[in-house]
Amino acid sequence: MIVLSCVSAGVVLGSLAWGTPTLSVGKVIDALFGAAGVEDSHRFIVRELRLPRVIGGALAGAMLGASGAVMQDTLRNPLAGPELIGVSAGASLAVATIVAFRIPLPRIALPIAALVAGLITGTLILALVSLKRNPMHMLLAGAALTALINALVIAVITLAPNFGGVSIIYRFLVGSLSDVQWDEIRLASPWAIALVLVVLLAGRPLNVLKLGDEVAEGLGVGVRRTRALLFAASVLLVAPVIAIAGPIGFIALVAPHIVRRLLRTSDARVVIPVAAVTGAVLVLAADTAARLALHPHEVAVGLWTALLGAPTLLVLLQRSMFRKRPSI
Amino acid sequence: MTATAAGLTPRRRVARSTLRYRWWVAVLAIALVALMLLYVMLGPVLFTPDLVFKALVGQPEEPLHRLAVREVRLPRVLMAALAGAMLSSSGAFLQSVLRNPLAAPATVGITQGAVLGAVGALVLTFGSEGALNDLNALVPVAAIAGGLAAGGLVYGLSYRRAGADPLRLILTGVVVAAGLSAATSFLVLLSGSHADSIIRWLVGSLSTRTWDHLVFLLPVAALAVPLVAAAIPVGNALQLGDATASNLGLRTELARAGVFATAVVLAAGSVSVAGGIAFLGMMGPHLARTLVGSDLRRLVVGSALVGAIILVAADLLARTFSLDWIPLLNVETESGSRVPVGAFTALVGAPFFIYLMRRPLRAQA
Repeated sequence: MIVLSCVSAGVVLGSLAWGTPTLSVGKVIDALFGAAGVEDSHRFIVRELRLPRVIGGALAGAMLGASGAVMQDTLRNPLAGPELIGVSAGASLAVATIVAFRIPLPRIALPIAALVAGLITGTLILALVSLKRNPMHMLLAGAALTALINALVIAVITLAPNFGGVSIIYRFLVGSLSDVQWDEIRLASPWAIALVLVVLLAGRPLNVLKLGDEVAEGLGVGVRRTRALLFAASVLLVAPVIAIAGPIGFIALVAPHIVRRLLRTSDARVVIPVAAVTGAVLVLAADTAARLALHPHEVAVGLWTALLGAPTLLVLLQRSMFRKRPSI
Repeated sequence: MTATAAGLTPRRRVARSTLRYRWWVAVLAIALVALMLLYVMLGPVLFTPDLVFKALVGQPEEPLHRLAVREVRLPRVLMAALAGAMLSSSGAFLQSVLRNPLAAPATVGITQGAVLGAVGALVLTFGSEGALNDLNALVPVAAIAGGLAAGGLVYGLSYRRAGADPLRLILTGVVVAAGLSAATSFLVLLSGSHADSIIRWLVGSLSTRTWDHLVFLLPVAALAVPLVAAAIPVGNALQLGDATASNLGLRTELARAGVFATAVVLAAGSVSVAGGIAFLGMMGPHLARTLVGSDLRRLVVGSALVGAIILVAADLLARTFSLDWIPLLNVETESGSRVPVGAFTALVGAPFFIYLMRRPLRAQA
């Protein structure tokens, strides 16, 4: 825990400091707290440009990490994650449609639309693939569904009256934090309540579910209802992320695995909060890399996470293919 | 030996299936030609068949007709047919040699590897004046290399002593493909002002294809012909199973690699002009198999025809689709859409993939 909090503090300061211009840590702190003698431009850069992006990134990463942890345990599938089973893509399609066609809805509606679309896609994938089957079938069906929905996203964006070019495609296909400003934070922050609730409440029922359906029933837990609720909660966590940043991939898949490995526990009460922090760190690190690596080009953060996440998924895949029953 | 369930001798059964094959090839060929005619007729300016004919033979009623038919629509439709045929026959080879119904250039990573190669070649060779030269000879070479590397990687990762397990192969392919697509996106973002025109390589698009591109594809097609001729009997033997194939005197791993390489050349050729069109390489051979059976000599011809038909139809839709078709949406649109054809093939192909994925499972249960 201590290591993790040090790392996250470091990442936050780093992503506030690096960029053009690169500021010293002291200057960043001065600018943040409005100390006297700070140049206006520095204050603007730190407070209006970088701070919202850092907060947005951390929030997105935390929600993705927690969502992945809940989803993997709920579906009893170590290869689950909202981006792998099509939920992220479905939610992104809804947001892309509203944004691209300028459908006159209040901004509050964006995450709600994302939630509804995510739930629909999630239900679809669960209907297509039975839970008791090989966990890899869900991955495959999810990949096909994602391809289908991404094709729709591209169609929607290219059909839209004023085609915004490549950057908008990436925003809705792979996710990017470049549009995140204080408005977006205001939009997403109420949903953080869901994050707190999930962290507090979801651990126990998940631990019970992991004992197996029969044991859980014996302990007086309605398995189907609990599972449906928890699945909905994991989709709920993703919806605001999609609304402000797009379907950033692989964080939800990777963060819980890192946590389980490092802490050598699969107790959901521990894994969920730590996965949330890990997710935040991962997204911030990836976004800082996205801003800096190919300067002056900005790379969508989702591309970095996909580049790093795909090999990780390959490793997980190689490993789980040799186990008879992949354990969580 | 004497009579089959249908009460026919083996010889008559063969004769009947040959008849069926010829019949279907004729039907498909006629359908393809009719569809291509329709393709040339439809568009922002509608032509009647006789106007098309006059423009084709060089006696148009207006000079503009000649331009629209001969320089814009005709090369594009020929390109769609050729690219679709190559991609689909590539899928036929892959499905037979990997003995896997879900195999296709796009599901084992070949398409995405080829796209990465092609886009890499494009980005590396921006002219000094910054012009984008998509007729660069390096593009198909890099596409083939990328396809081979990606296909080899996927095959290697999923290979075990018992051979490559179908599900494992496809899963590895899907994941490798995702990583390769992300890498391609990087290159697209790096290409700055050309990003808009390069991004269509990711989804597959036939817009702004001209005669030059068609001529450009011919060397690859020429390379593919002897490969295909050599790969058909080998692939047929492999279809019987490794044990039988090696009894027939084949070195199975070498033979498999050869057929695999043929499939890569076909797919990469298609990619180097049309980009990474998804799912066509899987749908084409499946539909063809239900029509002409799984003998590769017939399946390749059937797949090529079906693939050409699908891509021509999809591109016709992509070229003419307009939001005005959806009555509820009141959005002003320009005539002619920019939707890449790959989006339309994915709309049909992805549900087909899920259907295929579920089918063998049901059979097991």
